[in-house]
Amino acid sequence: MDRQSVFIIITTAIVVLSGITAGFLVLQQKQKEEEEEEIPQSLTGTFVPPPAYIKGRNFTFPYYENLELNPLTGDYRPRYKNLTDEEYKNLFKDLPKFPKNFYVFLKAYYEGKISDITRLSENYWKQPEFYGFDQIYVDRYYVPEKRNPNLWTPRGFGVFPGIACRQVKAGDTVTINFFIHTSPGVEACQVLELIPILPPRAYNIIGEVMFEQPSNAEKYFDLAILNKDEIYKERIEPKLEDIYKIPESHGIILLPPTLYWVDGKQYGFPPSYLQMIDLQIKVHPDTPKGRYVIGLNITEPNRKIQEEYYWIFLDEGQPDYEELQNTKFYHAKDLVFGSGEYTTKYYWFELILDVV
Amino acid sequence: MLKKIVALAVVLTALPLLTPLIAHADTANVTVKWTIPQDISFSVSYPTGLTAIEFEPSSASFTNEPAKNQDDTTPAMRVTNTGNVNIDISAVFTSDFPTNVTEFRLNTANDYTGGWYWTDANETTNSQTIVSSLAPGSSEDFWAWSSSTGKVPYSATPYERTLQLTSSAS
Repeated sequence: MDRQSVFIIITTAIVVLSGITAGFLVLQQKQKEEEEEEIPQSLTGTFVPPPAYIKGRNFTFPYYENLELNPLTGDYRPRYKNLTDEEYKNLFKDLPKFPKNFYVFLKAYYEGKISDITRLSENYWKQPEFYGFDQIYVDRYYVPEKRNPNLWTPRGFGVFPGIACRQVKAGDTVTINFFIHTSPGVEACQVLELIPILPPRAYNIIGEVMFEQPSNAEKYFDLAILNKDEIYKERIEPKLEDIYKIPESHGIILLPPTLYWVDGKQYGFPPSYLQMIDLQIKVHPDTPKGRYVIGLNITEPNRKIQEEYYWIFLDEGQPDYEELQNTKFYHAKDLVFGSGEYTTKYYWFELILDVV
Repeated sequence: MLKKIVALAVVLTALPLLTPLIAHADTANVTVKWTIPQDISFSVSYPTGLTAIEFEPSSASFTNEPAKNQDDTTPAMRVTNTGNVNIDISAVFTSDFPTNVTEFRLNTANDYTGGWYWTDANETTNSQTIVSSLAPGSSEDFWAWSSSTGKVPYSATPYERTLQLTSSAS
């Protein structure tokens, strides 16, 4: 083959491939435009929840105006009263810097001007103030003179937000985030097993039925909580017979205390007091369009797993016992499992999923 | 040299074809519609060292036995609404009382003549509202008592029953 023929072949190949590429890009652009046209009008403007889901109920959140630089911490967290400088610093030492516009942002969130808090910096969502922490909790749990010396709080956690609505397409695999946090003043570690479910119906926050789950919903979704506590994954699960392992679709987390003592000094809010939970949803390609509901149940792991946690929590003979106490259990007074006698009327977290 | 040019041309031309495939693999963008900023959150406190309401009667039969370690200033249980909406709380047992235990009482004061009670005839069916409209940051204290008719059979391990507390926004 002479050089001229080779040149012609190459040029032709490039022209043909470029043509195919250009055609593909045009098609892709057209498809994108069509997809954009499919997005319902409700997605424009502010992302305010339908009133039927709230029923006029009010959410209470703290609000401080004109925050000033706190010289103790170099950020803008309010200087709560009745704590010494050392107590104050120890209480918040593991948290990110508190932004100057924190409460402005919090208000915008509660007003529905912004919605997806997982896009936010952790300087906002890792603060206990995001979940209502205020002077009232400081006085009740963290001021020694005001605390009831005959009571302690072994159990308490919260799930945020209560309800979320997301839009997906058949065939998508998506991960939805929500948060679980230890309540203020809790002195024990809590181990929670998290179970995603497809419940029969969706409720609003006062328990009225919003809609029924479409029939055969279980055929169209694979659900999994991806969070597996490191202690469980690395030290407990390998020892367990299959029958005792938690199902792969379940999550398990260890919440540390938010009030603990080291060498007689009082501390609070370790880094893992709040955990972002990943709920993975695989939407089957043949899923009919419509509105579905996914719920979260919280329970205690089985007795075998509980016993293994106790061993790790209590056995001072472990070479890394001190490290575990300092970085996982935070010198908690005890270990408890599940939500105990406390539960919610419906689901700890409810996800409304619009398949479009 | 020619081979390199051909290979390069193919790779360059193929890249735009591959890019959308990579971008759409596995995960998808999730469109946020709305969230409800409710924090479903609680805490439960007990007399120091306890993780439940406990009874330790000194004899096998008992009447209005007070919960362990409760007194005028220390309730058997304190429930705090650490969330951000007012809540109601209802209570009911999840299983029958142990043999010969006939009554469980709960009150918001250290007085067994008031408040709520469950008997061995309705302990799993009589769901009662024990807290109404508890504001965020507020607590409710409870004192508890238990009674039997005749002797409760000895057990090497404590009898455990769950008084399920169920909250909902009020």
